[in-house]
Amino acid sequence: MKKIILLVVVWAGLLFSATAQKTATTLSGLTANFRETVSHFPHEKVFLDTDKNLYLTGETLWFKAYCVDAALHTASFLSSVLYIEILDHNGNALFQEKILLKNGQGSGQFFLPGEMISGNYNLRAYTAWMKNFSENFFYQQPLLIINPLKSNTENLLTGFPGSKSITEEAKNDTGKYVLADTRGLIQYSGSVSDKLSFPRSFPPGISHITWFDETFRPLGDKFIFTPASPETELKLSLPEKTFHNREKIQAEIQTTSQQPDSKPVSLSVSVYKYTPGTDLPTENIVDYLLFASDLTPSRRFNWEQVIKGTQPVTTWLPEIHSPLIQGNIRATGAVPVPDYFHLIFPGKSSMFYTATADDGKNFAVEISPEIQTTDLLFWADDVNMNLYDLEISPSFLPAKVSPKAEGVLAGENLRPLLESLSLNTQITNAYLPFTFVRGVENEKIYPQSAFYGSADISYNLDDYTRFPTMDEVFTEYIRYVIARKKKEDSESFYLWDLYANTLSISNSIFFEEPALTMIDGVPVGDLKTIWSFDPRKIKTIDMVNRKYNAGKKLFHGIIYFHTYKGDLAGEKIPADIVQKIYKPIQEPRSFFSPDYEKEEWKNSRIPDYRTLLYWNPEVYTDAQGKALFSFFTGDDIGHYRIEVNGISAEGTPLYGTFDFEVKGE
Amino acid sequence: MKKITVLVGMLFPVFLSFAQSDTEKARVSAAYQIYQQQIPLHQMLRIGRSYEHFYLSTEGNQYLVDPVPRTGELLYEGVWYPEITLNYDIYNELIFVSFTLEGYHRSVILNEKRVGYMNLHGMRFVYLSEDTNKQMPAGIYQEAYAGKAYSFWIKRKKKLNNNSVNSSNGNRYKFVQTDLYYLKNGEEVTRFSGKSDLLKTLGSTPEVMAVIRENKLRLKPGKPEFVQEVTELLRLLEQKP
Repeated sequence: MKKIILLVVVWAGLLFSATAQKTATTLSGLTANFRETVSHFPHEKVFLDTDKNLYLTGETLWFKAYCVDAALHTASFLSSVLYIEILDHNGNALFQEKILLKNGQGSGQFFLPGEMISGNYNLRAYTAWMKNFSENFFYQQPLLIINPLKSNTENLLTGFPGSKSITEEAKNDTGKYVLADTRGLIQYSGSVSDKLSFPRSFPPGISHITWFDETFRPLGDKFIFTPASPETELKLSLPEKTFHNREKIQAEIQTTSQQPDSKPVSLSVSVYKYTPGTDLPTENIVDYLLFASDLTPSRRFNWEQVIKGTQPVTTWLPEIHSPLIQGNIRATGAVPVPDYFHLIFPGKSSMFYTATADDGKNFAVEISPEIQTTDLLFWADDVNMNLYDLEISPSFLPAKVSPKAEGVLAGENLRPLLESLSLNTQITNAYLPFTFVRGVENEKIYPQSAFYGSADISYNLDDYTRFPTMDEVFTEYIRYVIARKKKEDSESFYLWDLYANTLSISNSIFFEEPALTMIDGVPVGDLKTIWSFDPRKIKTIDMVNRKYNAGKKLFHGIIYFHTYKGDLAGEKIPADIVQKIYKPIQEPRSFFSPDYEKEEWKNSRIPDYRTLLYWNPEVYTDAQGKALFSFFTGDDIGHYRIEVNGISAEGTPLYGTFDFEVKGE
Repeated sequence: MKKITVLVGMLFPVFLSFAQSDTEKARVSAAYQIYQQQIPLHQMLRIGRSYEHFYLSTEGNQYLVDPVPRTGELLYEGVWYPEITLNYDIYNELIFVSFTLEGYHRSVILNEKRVGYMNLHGMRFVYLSEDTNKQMPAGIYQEAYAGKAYSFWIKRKKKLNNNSVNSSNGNRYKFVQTDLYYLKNGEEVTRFSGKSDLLKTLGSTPEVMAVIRENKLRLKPGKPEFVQEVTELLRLLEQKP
């Protein structure tokens, strides 16, 4: 029996040492801490594939986002929302968008208005989880935008620098221990003197070798560059290398390494005009994920924390399922913070949520990604929310680091291309429909609806005699509700509980607590607002004659007044409600191009001088690793490039290009 | 020998935890924990109308299959829930989720207009707005077949009949299944109740009749195989060149 107890103690001790981190005093302790830090606090990488690398004002920048686990390069399941910004050279955000990620991928667009000045901008992207770590790991890509109608273009045409060599060999053999890893995945750990077991090769990308002294103090760090494997190459084929105007081109993409039962690969494809010899520096997904994203001034973890076994401090929650609203509420006077309060998005498609503050008075609420309204209200029953300091944590982080964009300039040899693109953009904006530039708005999937869904009883006021006062409306035909005094000075609605006894409505009773009363989703505390409201502005009155769960709060029914436009019909938001601004998720638009096989386009005399012939962020390979797509050339002759980026389900980045020429009729 | 077995069994979890675990699930464990400490499971689904529909002295039930909520899949308000306990009251047209909050069992009704789709009891349900010709009222429909040209939709319904005359167990009322069938061909919607209705819509062409005959499709409404046979017929017709 004693032996069994001893075994249990030993087992418990081992299990604890295996799972709990502590200061590393042995090599195995160091590697255990390293694995724990890297795998339990995984980093994410984001890559944005843009349709082109040079933009003119008046064009749309289309992008596809790939969000992956930083080590494995498989789709990240930690984030459902991506934040994307265009920053100027001072780090000021000119445009900001939030897009939805599904299985680590999403797409969107920025329209570049004519008011922008020519210059180097910075395209930046990150997730909420990435905000816990250094901004060095955010996606940042220089972006050259030219406004041909504004004068400072000349200053930019000065030539651009070449790329730097990043290869460096590991020669350091000082120290006692050595640990080698590729993106945080340990490849080797052992004694410096044990040179025989040191790996001869590393996986593609950047691998780090770190030397430690006998107390596991890091002495130095070197990196090894291993080239991308051939399987990252996508093979593109077209039937010809030259085509005519308005000709349909069928293109084929083939993955190089095709494994049996491999899952479909999601690819983003663009076809754009370019001039040979005038390539701007551009990043593809292979170079970015394997090299550029890991060539940062610091490692993704802190060695001191790894050695001590301390965990990184995270203040931003991952947005795993849907967008989060994080914030803080503090009392400014003697009135304590309420146990819970509500977040409301008013309007025709109103939404209603409940927040509970933790001990630190922080709160986090999951909200639907489908919310498209910008108004966000904070409300609590019988509480003046203005008595508190209420802050929403900003979704977008101010840019602290100087943007990469400073180093990118357009070369003088770009002048002919710029002049051609400028002319094409002006013709496109002048003659082609607006949808050619901005894309097609996708239809809303769901119908408009108040947050509660279907009402138990609904009065469409247009079906009844219109009375001039709300008092008459309620006296004449609104049933199953009464107005009672809750307090001495204020009145509330009390609803009939239709489900107290389902067999007979006549046996039902009124709820004991007042109903939640709202106009277009905005709570009304005192019925004076209702009685003074012009009933001709009300379209319907809905009643939810059953209890309504709202976290810790249980409302005894809802009476909801819908105005015609869902905008309160001019009524002001009550003073006890705090108003904030919410940035909704961008609705992705679809790229549009003419189909010259269709009658409506066949004999069209509208000039087609598009510089972007095709953009599709969702092209999938079949079971044979093959994908087909087609597009039409326009009226402009010249050289065009097909560029394809993608990533396999197993985490292999893929890239390919193909150049062709359009030679006229 | 027994002692060795005990020792190995006890140490097994230790070896597991020492092993390099770079699977996707293991890699997000701490991040998930941080998230779950702040965001209760299915937080967004816990807000809604209380489900309170109880029927005394009735035979049968008002649900799609039975009164026990089951694990299903749900796309709701744009968020995907791969494992969620829910049920569908087809008499009252209410989908509700069930959970326990602070020791109390709660059932919360979903806003049906925001149901992207729901998979329950092997059936897939979708909210449809009213069609342009007003043949199919807005509501939740079972998507029985979705092909290139045709789609087959079922409105699962029950009604409460007076049962006092035939009742053997004293129940005054009885729930009776009264499903409605719809065939969609592009924008055109036709409601059908049996073989003849269906053939009017599809056209009693030799080709259609041959498929029915060759596959021995009886297409008798009320029979358990009716839905499967209609689905099979549509699938086979769409396969024809």
